[in-house]
Amino acid sequence: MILTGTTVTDNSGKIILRESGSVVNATVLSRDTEVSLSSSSNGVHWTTSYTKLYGSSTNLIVLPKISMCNCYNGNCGHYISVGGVEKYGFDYVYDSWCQSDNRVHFTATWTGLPAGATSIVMGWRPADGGSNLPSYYENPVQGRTDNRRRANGSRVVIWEVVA
Amino acid sequence: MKLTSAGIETNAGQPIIRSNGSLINASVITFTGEVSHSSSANGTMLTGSYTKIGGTETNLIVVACINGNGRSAGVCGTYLEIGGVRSYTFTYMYDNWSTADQAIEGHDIFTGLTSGSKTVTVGWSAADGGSNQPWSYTNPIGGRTDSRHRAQNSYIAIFEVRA
Repeated sequence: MILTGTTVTDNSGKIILRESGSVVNATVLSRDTEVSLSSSSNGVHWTTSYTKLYGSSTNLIVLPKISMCNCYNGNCGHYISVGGVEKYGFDYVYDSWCQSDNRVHFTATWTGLPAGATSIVMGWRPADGGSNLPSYYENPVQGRTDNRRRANGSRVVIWEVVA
Repeated sequence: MKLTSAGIETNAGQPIIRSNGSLINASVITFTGEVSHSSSANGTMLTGSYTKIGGTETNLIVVACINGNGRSAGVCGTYLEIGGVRSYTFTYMYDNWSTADQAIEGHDIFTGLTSGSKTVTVGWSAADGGSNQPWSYTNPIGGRTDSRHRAQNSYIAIFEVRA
């Protein structure tokens, strides 16, 4: 291998590692405890945190998924906030047969955050300020509202990569 | 970049490869070809394999999207299993409109697996032991149940990272 200023190449000159885009940490946050949700104009699914290893020289690529069942409102303005920076692309997969599995999931990147404890908040906040409820149960236990149901939880995959 | 005892660092001194959390391998299993299913208490949709490079010192972060058509049971305990470790967080994105696209999606982390070939299975097993199926066709061909349908494949991305 050959180390240069920003890359590592093999002996034929092909890049095998770049400084920008390198993964410095990968982790998965898990939550499996059932939560009963209530209608709210500013509801929270899950508050957790990630300790960012480096400052603005790294970005966070985040893949969150909240598992739910027994849906109620199909539109309620889901968001995810990482280090205080909110994004509303956290889409709700709703189905009119509400006993089925429901979820919110997303993929996005956060740039410019400082190192250290980084709060992650996932919730809903309807644009019209009204009180809404996405689903009745988050991380449902086995058999919740349907004997066929298996318990399932929520996960957040975090990739910290060099900017 | 320079090599240090702690790994590879940038010229500014920031590690871009660390011993913990570093990415060892990234792989995607692609499943092609329509598979038909029938109702069962324990069904298998897809089976593949991944050769784990590290032993218990590495974890597997798995991101999956399994496509289907011809919906049946909206709750039936869908799962993804690697090396005998099963996760039910790969939930069914059911839609009550029978010819709509359906999918099983999710992500999770699998820890403590030894090195070597690991069987990767996607299937269902309802908690009540009853006979079910999420849908009739995995990786549906073009035109299956609706002439507008395009043929679809399924994908499981596996990221092996240092624990």
